[in-house]
Amino acid sequence: MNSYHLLAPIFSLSAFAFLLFGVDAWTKEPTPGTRRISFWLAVLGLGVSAAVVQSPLVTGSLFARQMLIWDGLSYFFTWITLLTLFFVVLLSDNFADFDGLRMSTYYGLLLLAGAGLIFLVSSNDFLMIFLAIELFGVPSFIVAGYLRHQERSSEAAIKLFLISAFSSAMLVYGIALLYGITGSTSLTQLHENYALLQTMAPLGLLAIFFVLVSFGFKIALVPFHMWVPDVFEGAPKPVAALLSVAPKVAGAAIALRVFNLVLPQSGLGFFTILAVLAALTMTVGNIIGLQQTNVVRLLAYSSIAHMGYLLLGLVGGGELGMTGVYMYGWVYLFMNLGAFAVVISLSKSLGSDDLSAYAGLSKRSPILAALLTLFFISLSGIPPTAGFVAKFYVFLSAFQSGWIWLVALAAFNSVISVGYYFKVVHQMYFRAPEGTQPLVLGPSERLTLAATSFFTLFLGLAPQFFVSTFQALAVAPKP
Amino acid sequence: MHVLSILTWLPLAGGIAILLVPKEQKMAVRVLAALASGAAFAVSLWLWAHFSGGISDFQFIEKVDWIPAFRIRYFLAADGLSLPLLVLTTLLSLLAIIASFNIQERVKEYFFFFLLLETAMLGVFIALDLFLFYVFWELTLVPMYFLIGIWGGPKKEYAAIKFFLFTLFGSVFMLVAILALYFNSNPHTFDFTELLAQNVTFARGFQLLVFIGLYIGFSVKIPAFPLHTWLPLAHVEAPTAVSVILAGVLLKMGLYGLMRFSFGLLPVATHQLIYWIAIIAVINVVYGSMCAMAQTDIKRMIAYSSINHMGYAMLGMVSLSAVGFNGAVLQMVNHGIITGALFLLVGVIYDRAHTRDINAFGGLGAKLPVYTGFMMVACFASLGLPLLAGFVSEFLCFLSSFQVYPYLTCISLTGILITAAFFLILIKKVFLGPFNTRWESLKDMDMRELVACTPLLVLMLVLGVFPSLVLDPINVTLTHLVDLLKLP
Repeated sequence: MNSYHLLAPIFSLSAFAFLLFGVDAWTKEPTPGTRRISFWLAVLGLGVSAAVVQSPLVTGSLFARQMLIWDGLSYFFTWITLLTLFFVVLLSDNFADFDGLRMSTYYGLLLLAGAGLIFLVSSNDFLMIFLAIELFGVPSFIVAGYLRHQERSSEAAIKLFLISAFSSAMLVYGIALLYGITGSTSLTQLHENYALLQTMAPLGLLAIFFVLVSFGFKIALVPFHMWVPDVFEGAPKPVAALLSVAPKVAGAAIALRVFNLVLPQSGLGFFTILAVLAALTMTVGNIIGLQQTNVVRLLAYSSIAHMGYLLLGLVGGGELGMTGVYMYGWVYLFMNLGAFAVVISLSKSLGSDDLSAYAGLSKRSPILAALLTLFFISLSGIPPTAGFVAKFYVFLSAFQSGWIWLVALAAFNSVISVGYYFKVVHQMYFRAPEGTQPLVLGPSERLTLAATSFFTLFLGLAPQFFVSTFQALAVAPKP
Repeated sequence: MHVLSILTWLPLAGGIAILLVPKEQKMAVRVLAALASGAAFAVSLWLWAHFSGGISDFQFIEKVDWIPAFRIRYFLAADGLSLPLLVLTTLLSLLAIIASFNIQERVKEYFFFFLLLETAMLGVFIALDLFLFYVFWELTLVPMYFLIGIWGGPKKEYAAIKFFLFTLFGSVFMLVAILALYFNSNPHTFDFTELLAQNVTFARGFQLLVFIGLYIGFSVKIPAFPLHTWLPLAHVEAPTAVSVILAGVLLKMGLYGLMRFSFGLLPVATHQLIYWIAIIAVINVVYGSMCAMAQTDIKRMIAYSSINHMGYAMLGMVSLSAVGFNGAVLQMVNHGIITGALFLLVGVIYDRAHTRDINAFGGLGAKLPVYTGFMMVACFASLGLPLLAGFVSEFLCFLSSFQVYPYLTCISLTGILITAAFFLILIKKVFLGPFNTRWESLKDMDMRELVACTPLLVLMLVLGVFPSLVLDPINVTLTHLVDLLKLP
């Protein structure tokens, strides 16, 4: 019973969230002053939570009546969540669309959503998974619709809400079936009784199918991806940045736990389903991406495609596959948030997210143009950037398990993706600018850009430190 | 001593220094770029002087762990195959940088990308860890994309992305082949020398698949029919100096990769598939020269002649004999020098006349004597006139391939004829005949252009008379490669 200190980051995030709600209750009118205070409170909350993250347990990592688990996987994805939130908070600080809104609630909701994600990655029971998804979901609808004077923002919130409700229903249905088959919602029980799933073949497969579909919606796998571009476009951009990384990577983490750790190759063939989903996801994401003329929508399709690549690690399986997913999540966090950071910093001065607004950016702001190019090179997986190392890692793992066609397809997809990433680069470097005034950056944006670009380059040039750390974390105890 | 590292990273260091120079000081940027590439050239000459041609082993080895988890190493070394290409790269880069002193727009970025490109190209020729090789190989893409796309001709944007996507498409197959090699070695490794030691264990079917994968990657760069279509476009649209690098160095990367990795690692597959490569070589020779013949744009003509000349080099390789390999490598060097000079010279006339139409000129011989002399020597060298560089290497290539595939060689001999024909037509239409008075005010070559072109002209003459300058250091390595290819 004394293992609740493992939950310290969640407690701390929730405490600061409620503190922020309290601040909101005491402010009459939103002023820049309160916005600053809330910003610093949110940063402080994240800092405190990061400080109290416990190191992962190798033995006896189950706690809270086996409902929760604190192993390498939970530990690693807790850090991903905290880092994503940190960058999102930084990016929200200067975001112009938020002017005149009560920001303390917004920051509080972000922290609460983060608590939900940490719960999610440390769940060892389907009920906890369901609760965690809801704990993340509810704050995320609200922040997606936070620009309440903009129709698009409300539309995004409604879409996100409906899709989440739908996919949660699927999940509950899957859980019910699993409970019917194995008599428990615990992942530990499922691991012990997975043979039952096989004997109850059609029903067992159906249960897995429902769980898979619901995760598919969370991770936005094709064909469950339709909500992504609209939500990204409508939601405030920092929220889009959050949605593009944290829930997707955390969703992949819980899928990793359920499909790779709990359910070994059980003859149910869901690895083949995963492989097909991965193939569909990256191909459709990239091909539709080619048609986009709005940079945010382009990033939305790119984020869909990237989940397809990440799935290669799940399909590959084994320690190499797990480490691959870790690596991919880690790298994707920096390169994708970096790209979003540039887009967010530009959205105010350019007044549009249209591709044509990026014309001649290399003249107006050579640094931003160079950084966005770096992030896009990394997202396309071209060396010597982090994106290449991450892709290489998941390719290796899938190749090792014999999914050669999938690796070939994924590699081919990287070529397609260059087509749209470099459409933006093309505009920035090969076209003449419309305005001439240089663009200014706030300090928090500078910090985000510096950190993300540093890691994007550093992880590409010297990945060894992270590789060995992730390998150590990937040999987590099975529940 | 980390000579190879110094050589590789010197240009990039210069490039980073350039980024720190204020934008207005264009001259400082240019001088810095010339200094950096000049220093790299000096280092490569030092390498040549200290290289012992008597042994086939790798020299100047540098091996440091990079990603130990996958046994990936930072492994650089040079042998007789890489040495001439290193010197060629640094020489052409230096001359191309001097030739680009007239670039006025976005000078800083231009020279930065140029030096980054030089680092990447040098890395390709000396990286012996397949992962590292792949990194350098891909690293050439981005700077080249910008160099074509920003400073190129009217269709530069399309040319840039086409070049990018074609090469990347090829690299994908290469990457999968590299992964296959990794997983088929025991212990898993990307190290070329370790893979070489185990290649007897590779099954025939596996070798065939890997060979094809690598070949697709390399053939885009060579460029071998039918993946050559990016080349005319990219060469024509690229600015002069970049065309020089494209033709002079980048095309060699494909042939180098083929000889080093495909032939070296996969002898069984090489013997199995070499006939098909011979056929592609013949297509390159004949089709390339015919296409060149049909052009009216001088630059386009030279671009297609590159396809033709790379065909000769491939033809030299297919005999799998020491003579053929020597001929092929010499042909790579000669083509770099000759075509580099031709592109520079076309740039000279284009800068003045703003046209490259072959029919727009006439009788320039009397008006521009120096230019005409340069151009004629380069053209004659390219069409293979004895005593000029091109002759020796083409002769060696044909000599060796005739012993193996006499009929194919006979067919490709027509390529020589057509090449001679279109170069002579070029000379006749541009330099001979009645003077076109439209070009009354044309000036002859200036100092910058002379400095950039003269070394290449001198080399054409020197290598035409003393090909042993190149052949001596490479011969032992290439003979060793022939031994590697002998089937048990």
